Amino acid sequence: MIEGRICLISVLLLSISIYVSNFNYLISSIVIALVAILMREKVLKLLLLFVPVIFIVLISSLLVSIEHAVITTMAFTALISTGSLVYHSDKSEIAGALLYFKIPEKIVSLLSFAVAMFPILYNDFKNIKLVQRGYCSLVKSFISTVILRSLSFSESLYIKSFNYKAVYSSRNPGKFDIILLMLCVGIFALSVNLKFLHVPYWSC
Amino acid sequence: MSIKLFQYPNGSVGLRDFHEVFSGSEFIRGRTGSGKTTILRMMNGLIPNFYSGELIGRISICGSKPNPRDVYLVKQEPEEMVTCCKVIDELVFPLVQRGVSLAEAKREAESICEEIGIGDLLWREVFTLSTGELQLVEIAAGIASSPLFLILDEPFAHLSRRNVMRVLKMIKDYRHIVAEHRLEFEPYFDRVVDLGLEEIEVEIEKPEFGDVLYDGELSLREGELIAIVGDNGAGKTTLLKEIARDLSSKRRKFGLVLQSPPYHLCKNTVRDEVEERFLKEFELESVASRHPQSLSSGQMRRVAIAKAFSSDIVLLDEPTAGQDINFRRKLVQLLRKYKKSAIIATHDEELAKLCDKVVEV
Repeated sequence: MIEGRICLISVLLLSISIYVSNFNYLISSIVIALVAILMREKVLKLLLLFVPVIFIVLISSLLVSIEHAVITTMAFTALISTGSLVYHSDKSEIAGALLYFKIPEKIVSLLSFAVAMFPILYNDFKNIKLVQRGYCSLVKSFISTVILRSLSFSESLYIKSFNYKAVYSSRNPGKFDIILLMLCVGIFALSVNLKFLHVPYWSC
Repeated sequence: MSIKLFQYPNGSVGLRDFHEVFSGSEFIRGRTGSGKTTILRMMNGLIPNFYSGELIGRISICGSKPNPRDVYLVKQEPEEMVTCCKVIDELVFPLVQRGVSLAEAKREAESICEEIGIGDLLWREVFTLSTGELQLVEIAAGIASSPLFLILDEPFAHLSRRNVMRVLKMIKDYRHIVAEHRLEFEPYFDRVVDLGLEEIEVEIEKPEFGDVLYDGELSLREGELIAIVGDNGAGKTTLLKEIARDLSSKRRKFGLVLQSPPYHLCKNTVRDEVEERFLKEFELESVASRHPQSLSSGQMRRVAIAKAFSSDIVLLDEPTAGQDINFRRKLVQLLRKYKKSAIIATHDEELAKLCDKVVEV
């Protein structure tokens, strides 16, 4: 598992690289490949969840041109892929990294809750899918469950005397983390180079 | 605790004329909806700080106002208590909020887990645990917090006998109050507070088996009741879900009731959810016009089970959790009366005894 601070810096570098390179498909491909190597089937699962959103991006950008649609969709897919680095990392290490980067504890603890709820809600969705037949019933049950979850969550915070204190952990980066960081810096340098030299994406 | 009346904003009476002094090691028993959860919620201040309503009475915890620091409540549904992704963080969370340093909190949590026998769960993700395992984690978090009072709302509903005994051993060193429907554990407490529970004898028809309806993970005949039993985390729910998927792929109509009742409810009223003939059978007439999601957890479960009765094959996961002892016999009676074939995953030994076959996983 990637160390929290390295994970955050890597995601930031990869996302900026995609943006700086003007959605260059070479950069997008490298980012997708790198994340796929690191996360294997986990990135595929996350992308499958986002298929409807990716599809909307594809359709809407098709209005401009096919080339634009391909580039935008690839860049969008790459951005979602980078998200899987955070999603599948140790959440308490991410909280530790945010505190390390001087983000206020109050914000970190609230962000941690949001992240903690994702897998629980995903699990709820899978269970409701098994129980309910029909799209409408599925959506209605899921929305009701989410509302009840949020209510019971706030009740739990009261029970546990929530005081805006974040629970976190931290460790030193390993060799693997350093290599990943260097790769991300390399990708960032490449994207800056592409931007600086004004190399159009179709010439790559 | 001296309560003349507590009324929820929707007008339903939560508690009336209840006067009791709790000193620890008390077992609260009562039928579903008798006010057990309401009493526990009053003890830590959830009522009236979180749940509004009209409260006439007085509650005092060792001379001070009810508050969550003095009284730690472990809720009936452990999924509703989750605040962190990892088990260790979940255990550490309440301690850290009380001002304990992170390192000390982790040491404390680890030692409690070893004592309670869940040390192997410490580094797992919370959502990969079974409901029973999660219940143990939440109880351990409560114990680690060392409150003045540890109050537990149906803590044994999702636990195997072995784990219940472990929990009882752990909590006996603390002032504890338990509201529970599994009366077999009553003798382990110093005092019983009875909110009114009459055992009703129900005549159960003799089973008549027909053709084999399902032959896959298990073999289920028409009119047969099979109980799946096993320790927490043994895979009872997983097996039930496998059977559901198998039945789905064979395009068989079935009703599946999982442990979280809101999954099953999507209509505006209970009457829309449940067939008219089952409303009376499941004693849901009084709430028939209410929104199903506004009911108590136990009532919601009843609605979900009644809804599943529209299919001939019924798969039930812990159907007696949150239900009083009369419900287990009533459930079996109704399953027999309407010639249902059922597979029931349960920790309830009495319910398992009433089934035709018991499968241990």
